[in-house]
Amino acid sequence: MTATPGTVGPEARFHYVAYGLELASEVEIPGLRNCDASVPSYMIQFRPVSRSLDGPATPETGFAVRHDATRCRIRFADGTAVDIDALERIVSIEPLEDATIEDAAGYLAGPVAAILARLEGHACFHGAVVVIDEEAHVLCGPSESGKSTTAAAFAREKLDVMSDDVCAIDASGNDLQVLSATPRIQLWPDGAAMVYGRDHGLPAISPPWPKLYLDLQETRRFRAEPARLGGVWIFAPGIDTVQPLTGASCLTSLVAHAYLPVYSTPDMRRHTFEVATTISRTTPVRLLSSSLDPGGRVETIVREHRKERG
Amino acid sequence: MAELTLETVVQISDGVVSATVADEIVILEPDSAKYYGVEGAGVEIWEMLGEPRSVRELRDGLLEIYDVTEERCERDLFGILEGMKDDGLIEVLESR
Repeated sequence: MTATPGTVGPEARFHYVAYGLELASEVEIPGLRNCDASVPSYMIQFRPVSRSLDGPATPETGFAVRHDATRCRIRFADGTAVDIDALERIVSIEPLEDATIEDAAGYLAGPVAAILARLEGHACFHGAVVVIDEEAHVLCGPSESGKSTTAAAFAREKLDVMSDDVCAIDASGNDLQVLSATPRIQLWPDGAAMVYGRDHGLPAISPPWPKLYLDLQETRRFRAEPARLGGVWIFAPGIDTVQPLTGASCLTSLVAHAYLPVYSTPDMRRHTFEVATTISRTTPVRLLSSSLDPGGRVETIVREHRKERG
Repeated sequence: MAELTLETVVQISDGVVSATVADEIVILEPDSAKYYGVEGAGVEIWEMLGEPRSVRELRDGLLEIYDVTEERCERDLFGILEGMKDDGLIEVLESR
C-alpha cells in the first residue's frame, strides 16, 4: 500500500525506526531504535481511543483486532486501545489511566509495529530473526517454544539478532529481504536463566509484567540493516535434530506461521501466501528438534547453515 | 444452488490463489483464510481450470490422462468439483 507520509508537527520530538518504518512521537518510547529526525512514516500520539471492538480478545494473542486495508483498531487484554490510521499515518494509543509509558511501549514495539509493517505491504511471519554470515534466519514455532530464548542464545554467542517475535519480509525486490524490528529480546525469567544463568541481571520491561528484556544495542548484537533471507527453522517435537521440509508440507508449514492471519485482509493473506510460496521454492526450510536446549539449537543452526553454504 | 451438469462452465473463484509445489497444489481461499491441498486428479483439474471450462471439457481432459471408464471419471469429477464449489474455490460461470 502506498500513502503520503504524515506531516511532522512540532510535537515530533523523538524519532524511531522499526521494520524500515520511521516513527515519530511527542514522548520518549523505550524499546524502539532511535534514528535521525526526518519525515516519519507514522506519528505516534497518546490520546483517547475508542475501546469498543466487536468480539473478545483471542486467548492466543490476548488482543482483539479489527482490520481493513487502511485502518486497524486493537484492544489489548489490559484495556489499552490502539487505532492505526494508515491514510492519515497516525498511530493513536490510549494506555490505561495508571499505566506507565513502558507498558504502552511494549505494545508499540511489539504487535503494533508488526501490524504497521503489514499495512506497508510486508509479509509477516511469527518468528524471531537471527543473522549468520550476513544472512537472516527465521526461527518459528508455537508460543513458548523458545524462539526468543534461542535468539538470546545467538546474542550470547556474539551473533546478531534482528527480531525476537515477528519476521517482516520485503519481497518487492529481486530477493527476499528481512527487515529488522526492535532492539530488545523479551524473555521470561526461566528463559533468561537458561541462557545467562540465575544471576542474569536483566531488567524487567515494566514492573507489573513478569517479562524481562535483553537490550541488543547495549550488547552490540542488534542488526539494524535488512538482510537477505537465508533459512527458516521451525521448532518441532518428535524429530531427529534436523529434517528438511519440501513441497506442499513446506508451504503449509510456512503459512501456518503467518502473523495474525485471522486479523488479515484477503489481500494480505494472498501476499503472505505468495511470499511463502517463494520461500518454499528458494530457501532452505527445516524442522529443528524442539528438545534441543538453546545452545544446542544455535550450534545446529550455524553448523547446518555453513554446511549448506559450503 | 444449481447442480453441476456436464454443460456447466466453472472457473476458479475471484481472489483464490494457488501454488504448485512438487506434485501437489496448495490453494488459498483468502476470504476464509483456509488452505487446501490438492493431489492426484485434482492437480490436473486445477491446472485445466487455468481458464473457464465446462465439466464435459474437464472430463474429456481427464479421460485422456487416466485409464478409467467414463462413468467412473464423471462420478469422481463431480465429487471433486462439488467439494471445490462448496469451499468457494471455484464458481459457476454458466449453467446450461
